[in-house]
Formats: sequence, C-alpha cells, structure tokens
Amino acid sequence: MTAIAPAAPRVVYSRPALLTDVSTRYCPGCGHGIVHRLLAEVLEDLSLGPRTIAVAPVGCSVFAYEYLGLDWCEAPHGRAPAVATGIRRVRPDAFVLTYQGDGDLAAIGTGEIVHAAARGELITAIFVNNGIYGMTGGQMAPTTLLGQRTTSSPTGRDARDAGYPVPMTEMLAVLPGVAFAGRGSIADPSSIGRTKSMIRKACEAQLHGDGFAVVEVLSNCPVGWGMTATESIQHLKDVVVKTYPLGVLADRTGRGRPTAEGGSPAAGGPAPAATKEG
Amino acid sequence: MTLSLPAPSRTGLALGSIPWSPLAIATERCKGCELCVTACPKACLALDQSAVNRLGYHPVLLTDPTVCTSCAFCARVCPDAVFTVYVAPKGVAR
Amino acid sequence: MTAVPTAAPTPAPGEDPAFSLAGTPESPRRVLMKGNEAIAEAAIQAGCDAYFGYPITPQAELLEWMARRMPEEGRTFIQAESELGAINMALGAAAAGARVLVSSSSPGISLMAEGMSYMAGSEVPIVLINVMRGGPGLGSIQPSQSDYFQAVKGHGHGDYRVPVLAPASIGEAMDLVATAFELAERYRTPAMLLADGILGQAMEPVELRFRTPERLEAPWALTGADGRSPRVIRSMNLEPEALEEHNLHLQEKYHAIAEREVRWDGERLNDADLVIVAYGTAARVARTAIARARASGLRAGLFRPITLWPFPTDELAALAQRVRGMLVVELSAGQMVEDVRLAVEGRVPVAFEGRMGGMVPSPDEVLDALRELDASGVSALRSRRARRRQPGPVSGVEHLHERTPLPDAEPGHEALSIFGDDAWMPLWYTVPVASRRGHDGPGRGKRGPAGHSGGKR
Repeated sequence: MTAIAPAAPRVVYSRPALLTDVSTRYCPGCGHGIVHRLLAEVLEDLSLGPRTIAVAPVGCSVFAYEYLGLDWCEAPHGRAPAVATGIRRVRPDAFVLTYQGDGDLAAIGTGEIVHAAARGELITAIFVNNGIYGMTGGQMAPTTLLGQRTTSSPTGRDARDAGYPVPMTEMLAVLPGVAFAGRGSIADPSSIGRTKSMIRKACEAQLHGDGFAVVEVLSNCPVGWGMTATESIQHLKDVVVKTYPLGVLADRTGRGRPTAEGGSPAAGGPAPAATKEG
Repeated sequence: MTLSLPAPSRTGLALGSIPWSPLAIATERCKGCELCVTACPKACLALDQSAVNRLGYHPVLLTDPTVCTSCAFCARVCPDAVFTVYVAPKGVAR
Repeated sequence: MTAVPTAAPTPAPGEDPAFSLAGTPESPRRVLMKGNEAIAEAAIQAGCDAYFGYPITPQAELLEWMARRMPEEGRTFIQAESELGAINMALGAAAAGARVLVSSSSPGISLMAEGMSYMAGSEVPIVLINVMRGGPGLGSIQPSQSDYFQAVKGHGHGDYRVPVLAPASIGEAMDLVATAFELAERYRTPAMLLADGILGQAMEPVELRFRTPERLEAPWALTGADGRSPRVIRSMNLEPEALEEHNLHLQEKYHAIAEREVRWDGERLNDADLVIVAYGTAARVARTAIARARASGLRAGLFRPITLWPFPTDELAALAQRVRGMLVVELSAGQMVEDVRLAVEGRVPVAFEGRMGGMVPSPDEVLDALRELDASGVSALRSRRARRRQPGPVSGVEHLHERTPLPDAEPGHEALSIFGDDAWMPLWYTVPVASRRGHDGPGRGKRGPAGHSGGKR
C-alpha cells in the first residue's frame, strides 16, 4: 500500500473497544445488543472501563459478562442491586452498575431495587424492559401489556387475574434517594440517542455522588412477541410507549452527597472522596 | 480495527486515487435483523440474498455508496455493532 | 484491621467496663459478655470488613453491636431490607475481596440458602452465623439444634458442602469466628458457625483474646479491570462437560477440607464404656450428665464434634471399636444421630435423646437415657413425643413397631388407616360408610382426627 494521502476518510463511528470480539447469543434484532453497545460507548466516553464492576442478572442478559470487557459478578435472580450494594460499600473507588431485565428487576427483585434506591446507593441500574421473560421461553412479566399474549397468558393478559403492567421507574422516582430516573427506548435512531444521554446522565449521578440512578430502556423481544425484528420495533413505537411514557421521571442531580440530616452539603463544601470525573 | 486506513471499497468510490466506502461492515457478525435497513433514511442498505455468513444469515450490504451520507443511523440501531462509518474529510470531493 | 487495644486493666473513670475492651494480649481482661456481642466483637477483631444482617431473634444483639462498632472502625454495616438482601450484599462484597460476615437465625437462614449455593458455586468466601431457634416455620425464639441438616447437608441446591463449626461456649465461639474466616478464605468457600439461642443470649465471663487471621492473596477478586484482563465471578456453566469439571474441582476441595480440617473434642474418653456424642449447648448438658453418671459408677465420656462438616467420621468409627454404646443428644428430633450411625456402621448401638421446639433436655433426662442404653444395649430412637406414648418402660426396638390403635369410629362411619395396620405412625380419618368408594385418599373428607365430631384423639 502506498502512503496514505493526508485527506483520508475519517471515522464517524466504530465498534466500541469494550465490546468483546464475539458474536452475541441474542436473537437477531434484540435490543440487548443495542443497550450493551450504548453502555460500552458511555463507559468509554467517561473512561470508566478499568474501574467498573458490573453485576449481571438472570435472564437473557446473564451473558453480558461475555460481551462487555469489564469485571462482572453474577447475581441470583433479582438480587443484583443487593450484590451491587455490597460491592459499592467495600470498593469506594469502583464504578458499580447493574444490568437487569424486567423479570429480574420488577418481579423477583422488587425488594432489592426499591431498597437500593431508597438507600440512595451510588450505583447505576440499567433496566431493559421488553415486557416478557425471554430466556425461559416467553412468559408473562409484571411489565407485560394488557391483552399481550405470552406463553403464560395465552389468551392475553387479563387485568382481573394478572393485574396491570407495573410502572417500576415511576415508583422508584418518588424515592428521595433516587438522583436520576429516566425511561428511553431503542425504537429509532433518535430515541437511541436520547437513551444514550440518559445512560450518561445516570452514570454521572454516581460519579458526582448524587445518589441512585436508573434508566429504563423499552426494548423488544422479536421471538417472544412473535414478530420479526422490524415488526417488533414498530410495535415499540406504536404500542409500548403508550403504556410506558418516555422521558426523565426524576432528576435530583447536582445536589451532591447527602448529609446525615438529609440535606446537601453547602455549595463549595469539600468534594466527596468517592467522586472522580471520568 | 485499523481506523487510519480507508475502508476497502466494493463499488469503487474514489477519494482522489484511494478507493473507499462510507461503511465497513463486519459481515460475519451480522444477523440479518434488518433494523438498519428500516433505519436508513436513504434506503441504501439491504440484505445480500446471494451470501450467507458463517452464522447462517444473509448479511447486510451497502447497495449504493454514492447516496450514503454517513449519518451512522445504521450503526446506531445495530445490535451487533457491525458498522464502521466513514465520512470524506471536509473540502475533499467524494 | 485494628490491633487489640492495649490499655490499663482498669477502666477509665466513667467508662462502662462492660464495653471497655481494655487489657493486654498477655493478660486479657475477663469481661461478662453476651454471646451475640462477644461473637460480633471477635469478628471485628478478626478483621471483618463488612457486615450485613437483618433483625431476627435471638441474634438481634449481634446486628446491634455491629451497627455501633463497625462505623466506629470505619467499616461497612448495612441492615438490609431482608435476609435475601443481606446475603446478596455479602456475595457482592466478598466477590470484591472483602472479609464479610452475615448472621441470622433459622428462618432467615432458609432465605439465605439460595445465596449460599451461589457463593459455593462461585467460590466466594463469607462467614455465616446461624443462631438456631425452634422450628420449623416461624417456630419459637428458644434455642434448638434443628438446623443441623440445613447446615451440613448444604441448605441450598446443588452438590456442595460448607465447613460448619459448632462452638459449645462463648469463648470458643469467639475463637471459632476467626477459624471460620480462615477456612472460608483458605478454601474459597462460604463457612458457617452454628450457634444456638442459649449461646447467643447467655452471658459468660470471657477472656478478651482475639485472633486476626492473615489476609490471603485474592487474584480472583473483582477490583476493576485496570491493566489486566477482566474477571468474572459466576456459577453458571451451560455446558455439562464444563460444569462437571467445575463440580469435580469443588469435590476435590471438599475432600481436602475433610482430610485436613476435622476438629473435635473428647472428655473422659480414655476409660469410657459409653459415650455421649453431642455438640454445642447439648454437649454442656451432657457434660453434667456424665459427671453425675461417673459419680454413680457409670463410665461415660463425651465426644464433642466441633466441625459438623467435615464430620469426625473416622474418629467416631475408631471410638466405636472400644465402647459399648453411644448416646446422641441433640436439641432436635435427631439429625446428627444419622451421621453418627453412618460413622459407626452398626458396630455399637446408637441411642438418641432429644427435645424439640426450643426445649432443652435436663442433665437428668440425659442420665436416664444413658442408663437405659446401659441396661438395654439396643439402638433406640427416643423423642419426647415417643416417650409420652409409653405407659411404662419399654425397650426402644419394641416401640418402633408398636401399633397405635385407631380411634373408635362413630356409628355409620368407618375408621380407615391410610398406610395400613402396620404403619409406624398411621394417619386416620373417618368417612361415611355409605359414601365410601374405595380408598379416597387423605384430605378428601376434610375431617382430620381432631376435627371430627368434637375430636377423637
């Protein structure tokens, strides 16, 4: 090859280095791949890779530890926020995040997520909500929509015996310990862009010592929903966002670490030891 | 990923004397989900029905590099991060 | 890790001597301490970095001591939202390389079974203390030893064991806390300390003698992949060949522990004719019974397992060669007795004396059982309920096969035994004769023995 001309094309986008060099097991078009990629991009932007200890859930994304080159701890189903709490308390310099699905966070894990949020733990929770239990074959989840057919609601979810879809992030948003709570989706490029900003904001809430942060990402499950990948994305746009509105649900960032009495340190006070800019 | 070299071109866009393409596609990682095909505003992506990669899918193909604007929407929606997107440097004609 | 405090032997003016841990390593002070608190302080002095717990009787004082002392030492304390939260916080903290303690009592330990299985599979070391109480279910808050099976046979799912240490005094418990940390970290496994409500709640004079096990290298710990390849702590392995390899590795580890870490204590065994096998509080009762037995001419000794797993199987088998019988005493329906029977392989009769539900056998009850073993020389399985049914002294073997008479049926009703007349403990119910269609099975008539026509029992 001859010498490269100075006017070479420049790179607009390339695969994040934090993604390992393997093909994921996720189904074609599965939103997990997109969220993994966004997480890798944000962690690289903030130079957090070497400091991160991440907690993997039970669900399709239990395999996340094969796809993101970070230190990972596997947690029992639903317990990721508690495992993350343990890590956070003994490793003040680490960046701690959980990556959870809707069965993990909103069903078996409701106790752990609520109390990690209530304690204002300095962890960032990425909550991928596709309204179904993908890994185990497509059963109903607490976030499954009314009327949605799943293998355990074959005639469609009926509110009379299965109740209503659970708006987890709205529930968490009311807790004072929550510094940031937002909901995004992966339905189209602009939604993906906004979701990435929310993930970044959620990471910064931890770095600045503001408190607990959670980003719910409305995602798809083509196989579980019985659709092609393209149809499932359309379904996200047309149907799912009507039950789960997008946007920032709580923003208590900028307050710094709480004091024993619950207030924020005065402006100009000493910076908390655990915060480091990325 | 060798980012300093231009992407090899299948269709022969030329930058000066260097052939290049706006997209480099890791075809062996593509799962043929077509999210990029839907997302592309210029409709210049399609599955290559004549090829099957080692995962068993028809990988995506840039059908017309001349209309691609390097918007990177394809890269944004791709769950498998198969795209590397290039743009011609300012002031240089494609 | 703090050094043992070295201060003047007398407390400072105004200082509460109960909370002053002054003393020198050479002549530690003896302080009256509650078991829960002594165990907690021993853990702190052993270098515990993090404690996660949840209030439950009878170990709430352990949590409370930690709540006060851990922040004083700059270490982590969390009262979790539940035992589920606590054990999983422990998993995370230990995976990140910390020395971690969790404590609970029987119902809470059941909740932690999942976490223990995950930690055994991921090879993450913690120490879990169970201050046992009466069960099953919500049970009582009084002491028991009815969690032996749970502790020793693996509480959670899967092929795993954990080292289980059983102290018989508060002083021993303080030392065994340090041993538990050592075993956990040396073998990368969760370890248990099995105490009971008496040990937790009683107060004894204890010497403030602490041990701080050294820290081992932990090249597996999660610290952030800075300049090294990433590490994963996990127990999942979907390929059967690989999971079998992992299980073989775990089994080799347990084999090594069984070879090297058995601990037991014997008293007056040299010339013993009959041996009482007991652990924890039961051993203390047995000790008094043995003293009384010796005084009346019966040559009895005490074999006290300290590690319940690995169980001192070989030692008991050797002992069985030279004694006439063994009496196992437990605060349960008989759990360790099964392992004793396995160990002696039928060489000697193994009798059992136990109380349940939080009751503690008295030394005289134990002495009675010892005398019965001495007289009858047969293997008996006696429990409080079984003894109550006997109108007079009957040998245990006959009792096992005695039939319990069925209740008198009302006119028009028949009494049916579910399992037949030769059942050991038959269930019975009555059905209207006219509607009987063969064997209906239990529960259909919805009439238990007590609920039928004012109760027949």
